[in-house]
Amino acid sequence: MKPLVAGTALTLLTAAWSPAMAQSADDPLVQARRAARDHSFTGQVEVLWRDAAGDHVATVDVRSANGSLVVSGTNTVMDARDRARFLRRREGGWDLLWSATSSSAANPPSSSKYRTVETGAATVAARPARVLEVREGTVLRQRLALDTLTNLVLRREHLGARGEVQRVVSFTALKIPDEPSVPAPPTASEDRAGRAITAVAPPFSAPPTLREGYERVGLYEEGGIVQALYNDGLYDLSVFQQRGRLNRGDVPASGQPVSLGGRRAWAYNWPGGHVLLWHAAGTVYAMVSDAPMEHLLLAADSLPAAGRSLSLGERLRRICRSLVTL
Amino acid sequence: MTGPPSSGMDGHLGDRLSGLLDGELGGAQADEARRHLAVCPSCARELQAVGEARSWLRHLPPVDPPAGFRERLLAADPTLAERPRGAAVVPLKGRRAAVATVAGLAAAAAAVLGLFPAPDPPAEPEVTRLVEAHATAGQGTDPLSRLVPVGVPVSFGR
Amino acid sequence: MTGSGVPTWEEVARNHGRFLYSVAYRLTGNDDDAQDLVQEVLLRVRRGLGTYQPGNLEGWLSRIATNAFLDEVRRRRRRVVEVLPDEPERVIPPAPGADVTAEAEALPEDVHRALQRLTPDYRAAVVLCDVVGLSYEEISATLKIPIGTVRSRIHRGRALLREALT
Repeated sequence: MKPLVAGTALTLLTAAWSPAMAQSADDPLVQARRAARDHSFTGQVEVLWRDAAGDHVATVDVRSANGSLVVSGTNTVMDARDRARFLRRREGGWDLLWSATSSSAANPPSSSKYRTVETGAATVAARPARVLEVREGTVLRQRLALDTLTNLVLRREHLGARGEVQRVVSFTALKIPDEPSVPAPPTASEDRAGRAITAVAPPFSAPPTLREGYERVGLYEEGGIVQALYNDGLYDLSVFQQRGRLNRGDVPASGQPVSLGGRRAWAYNWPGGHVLLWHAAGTVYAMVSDAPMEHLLLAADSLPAAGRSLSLGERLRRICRSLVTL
Repeated sequence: MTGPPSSGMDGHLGDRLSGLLDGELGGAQADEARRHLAVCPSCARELQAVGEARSWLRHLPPVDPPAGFRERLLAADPTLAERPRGAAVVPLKGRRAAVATVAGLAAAAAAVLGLFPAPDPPAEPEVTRLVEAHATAGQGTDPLSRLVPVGVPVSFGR
Repeated sequence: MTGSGVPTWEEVARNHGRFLYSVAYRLTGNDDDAQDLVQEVLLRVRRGLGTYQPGNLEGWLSRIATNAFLDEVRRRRRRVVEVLPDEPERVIPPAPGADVTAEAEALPEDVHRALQRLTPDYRAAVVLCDVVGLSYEEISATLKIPIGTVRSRIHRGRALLREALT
């Protein structure tokens, strides 16, 4: 079986044989991931997302050749084939977000948590596609349209707990050119690349697993901020940690207050998913994921600093203690 | 299900029910309320509902402050400036809001705050930056739908 | 006690810190804000704000706490430009296999959570009445609202809370 990760990463991972590497090659999600790497294409992608303010739509141009992917919207993102990730903001110049030294373990198999079933056919961007539904238990999480010819993901719909569409990333035009032009990787004007690390020192923590079946697949550090990257077979979830405190007046204003085991946290939407922000014991946590919000809330419960809901016994002990010290 | 509380303007007792429960109605008013309750099932239901809420609230247990809170409070007493101790002073939860309030205090109090070890500095996570770092790290289930949102304008309303 | 009759910081922190924290926690809903609020109360006590009548010290502290809380609510309301969506807070579901009987015993937590869904004005009235135990007259003086308004806020607050826990 051909490994799915680049050679650089693989050499770092020879000891960490992951079940993902042995997962079935005909898993449609694996096929889709490989197709995005193997096929050259140009096209337009529409992003639709929904938040408290209503529906939003944005269109971006995409171009891919020999594994290098360029997304041109407000920001230009370049995913060069050696897994260096560049970002150009409107002001110009490139940031190197992730360098080739970044490594990550393979994702856990999606089949341990999700069931993928082909349910029909569709036409997306004038191309025939097969429709797959990805379910977690009985809950429909995603509906995918895979290009019949190439297995490229032509449309990905994220659904909420009540089956409502929350986010759609969909090709509106797609061309597979005969002679792909390979995008030239830019030169980073500002190197802020995160570097892969193997462990974190207290008070940070990066448990190997989080609730809801998230396994740690990467650990990075950049400018005092630690990022632990998790995957559950379908979604990615990052936990960022930095020292400091969160002044409630300074959290970005569009947040919705949520309760995290009795601790105040703020939830945000972005076009690709959710953000959960909180602080505890001198550390500020930011969880970013394309997963449903309930996954974030539950996964946060695995982090030692997130206040756990107390057991009945602990509650009683506390009440007794408070009576004694009255 | 109790429905919304009645306004009391419609012949029902409305907030006089809470007055009755709290012993805040005068004798004549209380008698009148009790007579009404005897013949009005709607008010009787509302009284029961509100009475339950009142009872739950009154049985809320006291809440323990976190360990060491009282000690930190004591240590932060500004009058300590007038009787300084050699021992290290434990800081109050040093947050900007508190510091801002303290700024208005007498110089003596401000001076003692200066003795406190530096609290954790405030962190204002660049959420947009973290979102970008997330979207571009790792391999993703599908690099395209993962990277595309990074090309879209994102603002969290700082 | 100092000559002015106003209790000292030390006295309040030592003897009433826990009570004050409890009230602050019910008002603000969470530990962080409660700690802030207690600190703010102590600072106000230190500055001799409020007129302390020897007698009900904890009632007096509660009044300072409530006013400090409402001041902070107003201050924040001014600062937050975008009004948060009026959705119920998401609450983390219990871990799988959580003891079912624990839910019934967890009633105070539910009551606390429901209390936080009341608007700050209603919550302040309800906390002063049912958690602190002040009379309508004392609440009226604290919040500077007529007694009739006190009664209607308490009643409506209780009714809303009861409904939230149905």
